[in-house]
Amino acid sequence: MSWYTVFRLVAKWSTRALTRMEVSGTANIPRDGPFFLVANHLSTLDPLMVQGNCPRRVHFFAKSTQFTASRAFHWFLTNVSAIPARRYRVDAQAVRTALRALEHGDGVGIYLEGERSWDGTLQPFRRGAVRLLLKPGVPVIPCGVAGSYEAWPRWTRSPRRVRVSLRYGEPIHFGVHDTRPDRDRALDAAAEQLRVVISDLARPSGA
Amino acid sequence: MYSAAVIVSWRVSESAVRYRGVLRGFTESMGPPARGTLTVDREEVAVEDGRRDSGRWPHLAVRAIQASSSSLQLSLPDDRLVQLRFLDDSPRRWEELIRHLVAEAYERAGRGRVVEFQPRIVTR
Repeated sequence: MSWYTVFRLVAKWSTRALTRMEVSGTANIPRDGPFFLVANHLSTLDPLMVQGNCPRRVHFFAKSTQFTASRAFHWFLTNVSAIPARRYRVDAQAVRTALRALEHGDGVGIYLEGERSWDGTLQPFRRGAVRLLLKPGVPVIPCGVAGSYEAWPRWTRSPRRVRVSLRYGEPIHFGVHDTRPDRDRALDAAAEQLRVVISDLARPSGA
Repeated sequence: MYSAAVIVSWRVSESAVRYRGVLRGFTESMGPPARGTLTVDREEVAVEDGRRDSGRWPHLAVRAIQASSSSLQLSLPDDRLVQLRFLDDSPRRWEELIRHLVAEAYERAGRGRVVEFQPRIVTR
Protein backbone atom coordinates (compact mmCIF):
# COMPACT_ATOMS: atom_id res chain seq x y z
CA MET A 1 0.00 0.00 0.00
CA SER A 2 1.48 3.37 -1.02
CA TRP A 3 1.78 6.39 1.27
CA TYR A 4 -0.75 8.09 -0.98
CA THR A 5 -3.35 5.39 -0.30
CA VAL A 6 -2.66 5.60 3.43
CA PHE A 7 -3.07 9.38 3.30
CA ARG A 8 -6.27 9.10 1.30
CA LEU A 9 -7.87 6.68 3.74
CA VAL A 10 -6.77 8.63 6.83
CA ALA A 11 -7.91 11.92 5.26
CA LYS A 12 -11.25 10.46 4.23
CA TRP A 13 -12.15 8.96 7.58
CA SER A 14 -10.68 11.69 9.77
CA THR A 15 -12.64 14.42 7.99
CA ARG A 16 -15.80 12.31 8.24
CA ALA A 17 -15.15 12.06 11.98
CA LEU A 18 -14.41 15.78 12.34
CA THR A 19 -17.43 16.99 10.37
CA ARG A 20 -20.89 15.77 9.42
CA MET A 21 -19.92 15.22 5.81
CA GLU A 22 -22.03 14.32 2.80
CA VAL A 23 -20.22 13.28 -0.37
CA SER A 24 -21.77 12.92 -3.81
CA GLY A 25 -20.72 12.61 -7.42
CA THR A 26 -17.64 10.40 -7.01
CA ALA A 27 -18.93 8.45 -10.03
CA ASN A 28 -18.09 11.53 -12.13
CA ILE A 29 -14.37 10.98 -11.56
CA PRO A 30 -12.91 9.09 -14.53
CA ARG A 31 -11.92 5.49 -13.77
CA ASP A 32 -8.75 5.91 -15.80
CA GLY A 33 -6.89 8.47 -17.85
CA PRO A 34 -5.82 12.01 -17.03
CA PHE A 35 -8.14 14.65 -15.62
CA PHE A 36 -8.15 17.95 -13.79
CA LEU A 37 -9.95 18.28 -10.47
CA VAL A 38 -10.83 21.89 -9.61
CA ALA A 39 -12.46 23.05 -6.40
CA ASN A 40 -13.28 26.08 -4.32
CA HIS A 41 -11.11 26.55 -1.23
CA LEU A 42 -12.61 27.56 2.10
CA SER A 43 -10.61 25.79 4.75
CA THR A 44 -7.56 23.74 5.69
CA LEU A 45 -9.89 20.75 5.65
CA ASP A 46 -10.57 21.03 1.90
CA PRO A 47 -7.46 19.20 0.62
CA LEU A 48 -8.14 16.35 3.05
CA MET A 49 -11.76 16.10 1.95
CA VAL A 50 -11.33 16.65 -1.79
CA GLN A 51 -8.33 14.33 -2.16
CA GLY A 52 -9.42 11.89 0.52
CA ASN A 53 -12.73 11.17 -1.21
CA CYS A 54 -11.35 11.06 -4.75
CA PRO A 55 -10.69 7.44 -5.73
CA ARG A 56 -7.85 8.41 -8.09
CA ARG A 57 -4.39 9.82 -7.39
CA VAL A 58 -4.44 13.60 -7.68
CA HIS A 59 -1.35 15.81 -7.80
CA PHE A 60 -2.55 19.01 -6.14
CA PHE A 61 -0.82 22.35 -6.44
CA ALA A 62 0.29 23.59 -3.01
CA LYS A 63 1.94 26.88 -2.20
CA SER A 64 5.70 26.49 -2.05
CA THR A 65 6.02 27.99 1.44
CA GLN A 66 4.24 24.95 2.86
CA PHE A 67 7.18 22.78 1.85
CA THR A 68 9.46 24.79 4.13
CA ALA A 69 7.19 24.65 7.20
CA SER A 70 9.06 21.62 8.56
CA ARG A 71 10.98 18.59 7.32
CA ALA A 72 8.08 16.36 8.29
CA PHE A 73 5.58 18.42 6.31
CA HIS A 74 7.95 18.52 3.33
CA TRP A 75 8.11 14.71 3.43
CA PHE A 76 4.33 14.49 3.77
CA LEU A 77 3.59 16.84 0.88
CA THR A 78 6.02 15.16 -1.52
CA ASN A 79 4.57 11.75 -0.62
CA VAL A 80 1.00 12.86 -1.31
CA SER A 81 2.01 14.09 -4.77
CA ALA A 82 1.73 17.81 -4.00
CA ILE A 83 3.25 20.13 -6.59
CA PRO A 84 5.06 23.15 -5.10
CA ALA A 85 3.90 26.35 -6.79
CA ARG A 86 5.71 29.62 -6.20
CA ARG A 87 2.98 32.22 -6.05
CA TYR A 88 5.25 35.22 -6.47
CA ARG A 89 6.22 34.37 -10.05
CA VAL A 90 4.99 32.44 -13.06
CA ASP A 91 6.14 28.97 -12.06
CA ALA A 92 6.97 27.10 -15.25
CA GLN A 93 8.33 24.07 -13.38
CA ALA A 94 5.06 23.59 -11.50
CA VAL A 95 3.20 23.62 -14.83
CA ARG A 96 5.70 21.11 -16.32
CA THR A 97 5.21 18.80 -13.34
CA ALA A 98 1.43 19.00 -13.70
CA LEU A 99 1.53 18.24 -17.44
CA ARG A 100 3.88 15.31 -16.75
CA ALA A 101 1.40 13.92 -14.20
CA LEU A 102 -1.36 14.14 -16.82
CA GLU A 103 0.84 12.38 -19.39
CA HIS A 104 1.32 9.66 -16.79
CA GLY A 105 -2.48 9.27 -16.64
CA ASP A 106 -2.98 10.83 -13.20
CA GLY A 107 -5.22 13.65 -12.02
CA VAL A 108 -4.06 17.18 -11.31
CA GLY A 109 -5.83 19.26 -8.69
CA ILE A 110 -6.09 23.03 -8.63
CA TYR A 111 -7.80 25.45 -6.28
CA LEU A 112 -8.66 28.03 -8.91
CA GLU A 113 -8.87 30.89 -6.41
CA GLY A 114 -5.21 30.32 -5.54
CA GLU A 115 -5.77 30.59 -1.79
CA ARG A 116 -8.25 29.90 0.97
CA SER A 117 -11.22 32.22 1.06
CA TRP A 118 -11.04 34.96 3.67
CA ASP A 119 -14.78 35.36 4.09
CA GLY A 120 -16.37 32.13 2.85
CA THR A 121 -17.21 33.49 -0.60
CA LEU A 122 -15.89 32.32 -3.96
CA GLN A 123 -12.95 34.55 -4.95
CA PRO A 124 -11.83 35.45 -8.47
CA PHE A 125 -10.12 32.59 -10.30
CA ARG A 126 -6.44 32.88 -11.24
CA ARG A 127 -6.20 33.42 -14.96
CA GLY A 128 -3.06 31.30 -15.22
CA ALA A 129 -4.82 28.37 -13.56
CA VAL A 130 -7.76 28.51 -15.96
CA ARG A 131 -5.33 28.87 -18.88
CA LEU A 132 -3.62 25.65 -17.79
CA LEU A 133 -6.96 23.78 -17.86
CA LEU A 134 -7.41 24.74 -21.50
CA LYS A 135 -4.04 23.44 -22.71
CA PRO A 136 -4.11 19.61 -22.68
CA GLY A 137 -7.76 18.90 -23.52
CA VAL A 138 -8.37 16.51 -20.63
CA PRO A 139 -11.71 16.41 -18.76
CA VAL A 140 -12.13 18.91 -15.96
CA ILE A 141 -14.02 17.64 -12.90
CA PRO A 142 -15.50 20.55 -10.95
CA CYS A 143 -15.86 20.08 -7.23
CA GLY A 144 -17.81 22.22 -4.77
CA VAL A 145 -17.24 22.30 -1.03
CA ALA A 146 -19.81 23.89 1.29
CA GLY A 147 -19.65 24.23 5.04
CA SER A 148 -15.91 23.80 5.56
CA TYR A 149 -15.54 27.54 6.17
CA GLU A 150 -17.98 27.20 9.06
CA ALA A 151 -16.12 24.07 10.19
CA TRP A 152 -12.64 25.58 10.19
CA PRO A 153 -12.06 29.14 8.94
CA ARG A 154 -8.59 30.70 8.82
CA TRP A 155 -8.68 32.23 12.25
CA THR A 156 -9.66 29.33 14.47
CA ARG A 157 -7.26 26.75 15.86
CA SER A 158 -9.53 23.73 15.78
CA PRO A 159 -12.49 22.56 13.68
CA ARG A 160 -16.15 22.56 14.68
CA ARG A 161 -18.35 19.59 13.89
CA VAL A 162 -20.81 21.05 11.40
CA ARG A 163 -22.49 19.84 8.22
CA VAL A 164 -20.14 19.86 5.22
CA SER A 165 -21.02 18.85 1.69
CA LEU A 166 -18.61 17.78 -1.01
CA ARG A 167 -19.92 17.41 -4.55
CA TYR A 168 -17.99 16.25 -7.61
CA GLY A 169 -19.67 17.51 -10.76
CA GLU A 170 -19.92 16.13 -14.26
CA PRO A 171 -16.81 16.39 -16.45
CA ILE A 172 -16.40 19.56 -18.51
CA HIS A 173 -14.63 19.23 -21.86
CA PHE A 174 -13.03 22.46 -23.02
CA GLY A 175 -11.11 20.81 -25.87
CA VAL A 176 -7.46 21.31 -26.77
CA HIS A 177 -6.19 24.87 -27.06
CA ASP A 178 -2.69 24.46 -28.42
CA THR A 179 -1.58 28.04 -28.66
CA ARG A 180 -1.49 30.86 -26.15
CA PRO A 181 -3.80 33.10 -28.27
CA ASP A 182 -6.28 30.17 -28.47
CA ARG A 183 -6.24 29.80 -24.71
CA ASP A 184 -6.56 33.54 -24.16
CA ARG A 185 -9.62 33.69 -26.42
CA ALA A 186 -11.32 30.85 -24.53
CA LEU A 187 -10.24 31.94 -21.07
CA ASP A 188 -13.02 34.29 -19.97
CA ALA A 189 -15.83 31.97 -21.10
CA ALA A 190 -14.17 28.95 -19.45
CA ALA A 191 -13.67 30.85 -16.19
CA GLU A 192 -17.28 31.96 -16.18
CA GLN A 193 -18.55 28.45 -16.91
CA LEU A 194 -16.45 27.04 -14.07
CA ARG A 195 -17.59 29.80 -11.71
CA VAL A 196 -21.25 28.99 -12.39
CA VAL A 197 -20.76 25.23 -12.01
CA ILE A 198 -18.59 25.42 -8.87
CA SER A 199 -20.92 27.97 -7.24
CA ASP A 200 -23.80 25.58 -7.82
CA LEU A 201 -21.89 22.56 -6.50
CA ALA A 202 -20.77 24.58 -3.46
CA ARG A 203 -24.27 25.61 -2.41
CA PRO A 204 -25.05 24.57 1.17
CA SER A 205 -27.02 21.36 1.71
CA GLY A 206 -30.75 21.97 1.43
CA ALA A 207 -30.28 25.34 -0.33
CA MET B 1 0.97 57.57 4.80
CA TYR B 2 0.41 54.22 6.52
CA SER B 3 2.94 52.19 8.44
CA ALA B 4 3.05 48.99 10.45
CA ALA B 5 5.53 47.08 12.58
CA VAL B 6 6.51 43.86 10.84
CA ILE B 7 8.89 40.95 11.05
CA VAL B 8 10.85 41.04 7.80
CA SER B 9 12.36 38.05 6.00
CA TRP B 10 14.06 38.23 2.60
CA ARG B 11 14.35 35.31 0.24
CA VAL B 12 17.92 34.06 0.20
CA SER B 13 17.65 31.09 -2.14
CA GLU B 14 15.39 28.61 -3.85
CA SER B 15 15.70 24.88 -3.40
CA ALA B 16 14.54 22.02 -5.57
CA VAL B 17 11.79 19.70 -4.37
CA ARG B 18 12.28 16.16 -5.65
CA TYR B 19 10.33 12.95 -5.23
CA ARG B 20 12.26 9.74 -5.90
CA GLY B 21 14.86 11.77 -7.76
CA VAL B 22 12.36 13.52 -10.04
CA LEU B 23 12.13 17.30 -9.89
CA ARG B 24 8.67 18.43 -8.72
CA GLY B 25 9.33 22.14 -8.34
CA PHE B 26 11.03 24.75 -6.26
CA THR B 27 10.47 26.38 -2.94
CA GLU B 28 11.91 29.56 -1.50
CA SER B 29 14.17 29.67 1.54
CA MET B 30 13.71 32.78 3.62
CA GLY B 31 16.57 34.40 5.50
CA PRO B 32 16.62 35.26 9.19
CA PRO B 33 13.70 37.39 10.40
CA ALA B 34 14.26 40.91 11.76
CA ARG B 35 11.99 43.55 13.19
CA GLY B 36 11.23 46.34 10.77
CA THR B 37 8.67 48.77 9.40
CA LEU B 38 6.47 48.68 6.32
CA THR B 39 5.43 52.11 5.06
CA VAL B 40 3.21 52.92 2.12
CA ASP B 41 1.96 56.15 0.66
CA ARG B 42 0.42 57.19 -2.63
CA GLU B 43 3.74 56.90 -4.51
CA GLU B 44 5.79 54.10 -3.03
CA VAL B 45 6.22 51.21 -0.66
CA ALA B 46 9.14 51.08 1.78
CA VAL B 47 10.52 48.20 3.83
CA GLU B 48 13.05 49.16 6.50
CA ASP B 49 14.73 46.60 8.71
CA GLY B 50 18.25 48.04 8.95
CA ARG B 51 19.67 45.50 6.50
CA ARG B 52 21.13 45.72 3.02
CA ASP B 53 17.94 44.74 1.19
CA SER B 54 15.85 47.51 2.81
CA GLY B 55 14.60 50.15 0.43
CA ARG B 56 11.80 52.10 -1.19
CA TRP B 57 10.11 51.17 -4.44
CA PRO B 58 7.57 53.11 -6.52
CA HIS B 59 4.29 51.23 -6.85
CA LEU B 60 4.92 50.64 -10.54
CA ALA B 61 8.05 48.66 -9.61
CA VAL B 62 6.18 46.15 -7.45
CA ARG B 63 5.95 42.85 -9.37
CA ALA B 64 3.40 40.89 -7.30
CA ILE B 65 1.48 41.10 -4.04
CA GLN B 66 0.00 38.19 -2.16
CA ALA B 67 -1.04 37.27 1.35
CA SER B 68 0.37 33.91 2.38
CA SER B 69 -1.25 32.51 5.53
CA SER B 70 -0.49 35.11 8.19
CA SER B 71 2.05 37.11 6.20
CA LEU B 72 2.28 39.30 3.13
CA GLN B 73 4.73 38.69 0.29
CA LEU B 74 5.92 41.40 -2.08
CA SER B 75 7.87 40.59 -5.23
CA LEU B 76 10.24 43.46 -5.97
CA PRO B 77 12.71 44.38 -8.73
CA ASP B 78 16.02 42.46 -9.04
CA ASP B 79 14.22 39.21 -8.22
CA ARG B 80 13.76 40.19 -4.58
CA LEU B 81 11.03 38.65 -2.46
CA VAL B 82 10.18 39.95 0.99
CA GLN B 83 7.86 38.32 3.48
CA LEU B 84 6.25 40.54 6.10
CA ARG B 85 4.63 39.16 9.23
CA PHE B 86 2.48 41.77 10.94
CA LEU B 87 2.85 42.14 14.70
CA ASP B 88 -0.53 43.68 15.34
CA ASP B 89 -2.38 43.98 12.07
CA SER B 90 -4.00 41.88 9.40
CA PRO B 91 -1.99 40.86 6.31
CA ARG B 92 -5.23 40.80 4.35
CA ARG B 93 -5.91 44.46 5.16
CA TRP B 94 -2.42 45.43 4.02
CA GLU B 95 -2.71 43.30 0.91
CA GLU B 96 -5.88 45.17 -0.03
CA LEU B 97 -4.34 48.56 0.76
CA ILE B 98 -1.20 47.97 -1.31
CA ARG B 99 -3.19 46.44 -4.17
CA HIS B 100 -5.44 49.50 -4.17
CA LEU B 101 -2.48 51.91 -4.25
CA VAL B 102 -0.69 49.92 -6.96
CA ALA B 103 -3.85 49.81 -9.09
CA GLU B 104 -4.23 53.58 -8.68
CA ALA B 105 -0.61 54.13 -9.70
CA TYR B 106 -1.10 52.04 -12.87
CA GLU B 107 -4.22 54.01 -13.80
CA ARG B 108 -2.52 57.36 -13.11
CA ALA B 109 0.37 56.30 -15.34
CA GLY B 110 -2.05 55.28 -18.13
CA ARG B 111 -0.90 51.65 -17.87
CA GLY B 112 -4.40 50.19 -17.72
CA ARG B 113 -6.59 48.49 -15.15
CA VAL B 114 -4.90 45.86 -12.99
CA VAL B 115 -6.81 42.57 -13.27
CA GLU B 116 -4.41 40.31 -11.36
CA PHE B 117 -1.77 40.88 -8.69
CA GLN B 118 -0.13 37.47 -8.62
CA PRO B 119 1.92 35.65 -9.81
CA ARG B 120 2.59 38.93 -11.60
CA ILE B 121 0.73 42.16 -12.08
CA VAL B 122 -1.44 41.94 -15.19
CA THR B 123 -3.29 44.88 -16.71
CA ARG B 124 -5.92 45.27 -19.37
